[in-house]
Amino acid sequence: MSKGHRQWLANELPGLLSNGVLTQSAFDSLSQHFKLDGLINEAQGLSKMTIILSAVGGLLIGGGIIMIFAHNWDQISRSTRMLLALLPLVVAQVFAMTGIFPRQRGVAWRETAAAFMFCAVPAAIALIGQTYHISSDFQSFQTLWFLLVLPFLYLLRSKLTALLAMMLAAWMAGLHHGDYWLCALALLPFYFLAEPLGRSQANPTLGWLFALGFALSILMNDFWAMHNQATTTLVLMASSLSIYLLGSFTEPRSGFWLRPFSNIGALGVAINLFVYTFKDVWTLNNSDLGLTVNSLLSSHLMLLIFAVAGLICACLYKRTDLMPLGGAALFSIAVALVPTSTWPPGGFIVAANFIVLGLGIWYLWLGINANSTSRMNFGLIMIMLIILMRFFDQDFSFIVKGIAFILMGSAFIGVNLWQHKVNLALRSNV
Amino acid sequence: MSRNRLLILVVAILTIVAQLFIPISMANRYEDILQTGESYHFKVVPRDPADPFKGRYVNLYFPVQSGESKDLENPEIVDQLKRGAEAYAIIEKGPNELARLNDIKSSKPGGQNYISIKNSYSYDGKYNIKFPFNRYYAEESKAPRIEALLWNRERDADREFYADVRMKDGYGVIAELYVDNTPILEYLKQQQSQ
Repeated sequence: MSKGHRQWLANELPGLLSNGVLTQSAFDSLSQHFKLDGLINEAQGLSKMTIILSAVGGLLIGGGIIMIFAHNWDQISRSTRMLLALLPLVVAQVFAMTGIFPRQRGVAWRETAAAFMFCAVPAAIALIGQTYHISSDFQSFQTLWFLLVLPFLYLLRSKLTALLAMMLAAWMAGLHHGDYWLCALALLPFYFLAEPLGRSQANPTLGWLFALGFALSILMNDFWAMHNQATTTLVLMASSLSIYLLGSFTEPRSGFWLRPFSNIGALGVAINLFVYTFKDVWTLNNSDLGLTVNSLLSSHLMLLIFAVAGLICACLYKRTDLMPLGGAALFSIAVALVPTSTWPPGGFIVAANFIVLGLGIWYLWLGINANSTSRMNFGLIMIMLIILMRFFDQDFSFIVKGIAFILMGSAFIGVNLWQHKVNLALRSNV
Repeated sequence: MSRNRLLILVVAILTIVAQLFIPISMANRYEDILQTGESYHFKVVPRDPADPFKGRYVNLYFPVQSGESKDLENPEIVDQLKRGAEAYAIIEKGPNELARLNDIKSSKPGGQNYISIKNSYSYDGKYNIKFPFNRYYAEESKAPRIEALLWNRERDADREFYADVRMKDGYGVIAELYVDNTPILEYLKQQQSQ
């Protein structure tokens, strides 16, 4: 086969794989048969650069238009300003429509059109506000911006704009009191259905950014829902558990970088469990949890329902791997709902310590069995942190504390070295 | 055209219509207020500048926004004002044609001009209300000059600064800022040529 034909095939294959025309094994066989590895990497590198540069170009042009409008040309009549406000929006709409019809255009075209629209929509609303000296109701402005951009983000399947919209959702959730976590929720189908970001081995970074943005939106929204420290831990636990279960049901079961939602959720649950092991959390009176349900869409209520429903699904689908972390989190939520005035928390503090220790041992065991360094280290860190924290609660001498540190450090290095050796042995056998 | 493509087309068209309808309806509402709304003159005091999307502006404060509850017809309603609660400020023309606050009501008043207000509050028998029009956007080189002019009003005590606000159906739109009955941009031009 000539180099030209091979180059053409190298350009086409990644698209066929992502559209589901080719399976991963067919893709691998073809690229191996025609010796396309180098050419595919080259083509993907070039096309990625084109996409990124085009999308950034669209954002810069849109941002430039906003700034030019912000100059405020007082010589221009109100009707001309009106036309000027709508012109970039109409251009963005035409650009976006040609990206979808009569046939779907390339990624670079769609990303640029979506990025341009992401700027043209707020520019139009802002210029109308400027012309009529309308005070900035920033909350309505941001909400309109998000809602008017959302459908095109799906239609154009734009990853960059989805990420920008997720940042906008987190910004709104942090800035305004309201159920803005629903905006982040509205972007989730994009991640799991329209564009399998997290599952793409080629680019897990975008998936992680998306998952972090989602977790941040939920976290910000939770801060508005909190009334006291007892509610805080309860709401944060329910949020973390929901994110963990969401990721566990939708992401691959192995590969640390391919599981952004599961890992961020698991980290959240672990942090909350650690918080529960401190006595101070329980000395606060939680008889009034302040769980006033203002609306059925309140994040704390919905997330609690999601978390329970997720665990029921885990039972139904026999996902025993989710039970230890999920069960521990749900148990903590149930205990936190019982007022401390009727139930002395001393027993649970001891139980919480054992739960964390047990989870750490379970993750360590799981990591060793599945040959997963990330799970093994997660378990090790949990075990060491809980021992260290309880250790510092006691009045031991510096010598004892020092020896304990050295022992734990040695154990950490020893287990990782052993894991490295096992990996090397496995590779040499292959 | 497949059913899927038809659905995509319908969603795209609906979004385009919404994207155009919202700014056009905003402009239409405010243009109608400017053309047919009743004119009120509000005495103004400046605050500070700049919005990342809309550019430079002069933040205006109207002295009628605050006062003592007992001076109003229904002080008990004012004292119940909470942050974020919706209320209606009834505006009337006082001496020298300057606007003044007649009353604040919790329900829409009939037959009187009013402004819908939010984020207003009261404390210790004093009220503080927030009007939805407190910004005057100007060209980026002119906004600081307008602000400086308004800040120096103590030196120009004999000059009168006011905003012409058109009011209709609970909305208010600033039509112009005036210095001694001269539109502020014209006044700046005159100052520059002197």
